[in-house]
Amino acid sequence: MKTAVRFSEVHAEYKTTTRDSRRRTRTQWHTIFKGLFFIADFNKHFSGRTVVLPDTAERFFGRFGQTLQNMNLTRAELIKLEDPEFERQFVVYGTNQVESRYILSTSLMQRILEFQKEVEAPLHIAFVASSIYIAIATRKNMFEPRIIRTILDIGLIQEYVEDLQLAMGIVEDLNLNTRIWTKV
Amino acid sequence: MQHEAGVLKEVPELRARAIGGPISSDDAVELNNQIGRALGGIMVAVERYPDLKATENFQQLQRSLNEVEEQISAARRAFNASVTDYNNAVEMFPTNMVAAMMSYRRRHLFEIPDAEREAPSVKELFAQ
Repeated sequence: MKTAVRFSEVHAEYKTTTRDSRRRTRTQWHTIFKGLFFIADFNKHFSGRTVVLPDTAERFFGRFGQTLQNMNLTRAELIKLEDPEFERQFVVYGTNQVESRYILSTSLMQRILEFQKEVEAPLHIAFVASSIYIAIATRKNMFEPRIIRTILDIGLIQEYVEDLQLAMGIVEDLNLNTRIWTKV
Repeated sequence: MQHEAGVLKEVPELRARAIGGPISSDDAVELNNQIGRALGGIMVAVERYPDLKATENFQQLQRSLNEVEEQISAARRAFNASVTDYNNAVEMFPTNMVAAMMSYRRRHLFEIPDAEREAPSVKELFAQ
């Protein structure tokens, strides 16, 4: 069984319009996310939601950061995991304490940490409706030829291949092809 | 054959004890371990029957066992995380004062029994 994947470069923005005293309108676009967005079929069934975000609060405030995270009302319940390295780098919120731990097994936590080292950019991961969603923020335009410069540059092609390999490698990196649970 | 019959009989017996009436939490952990060992024995016994191993039913069983194990481990970890939070609250100021008033005590975490902490020896499983 091979894992079904989809990925794309995504630039998501929202628009705000403001009107000043002289009734001139000004439209602004604010970036929500720009980078690689990857969706794959996860190897376990689940019905709730779990999100894994980069942990900024704990890095700045230490243990007190966790208290702050616990009070975050915009998110679901804070899930405290037992891997200290994972806890330092990520914060996890989920709708169900047991289910989130069922998804984030100790081995998957290790694999996510390894993967984080590989990509360098901060990882945002969500587990919804038996799928895994991974967002990797990047500044460059991926999978696109440049218009003004030559495309015969081997470095450029290499970069495309690397981007593609990164996306395709996620399945291996997170071991999504292992289907030993009830989900086929 | 004799041995296999023994293994196959053991599981329903243990199961009957596990669901038949109230048992203390210590007994539950012990029964759980015994069932785990017995199931391990079945898995090894099955290796001798390639036909059986290849059947769909059996593969389904194997998947179910993996699933159950993963779910149980998740539940254990969730339990331990809440107990750790609770124990910290019982011992730390200012919540420890409330805990003392309500006579809340520290709770025990789920621990791996010594027998399971040893690296599993496949040789021993085969020799059974």
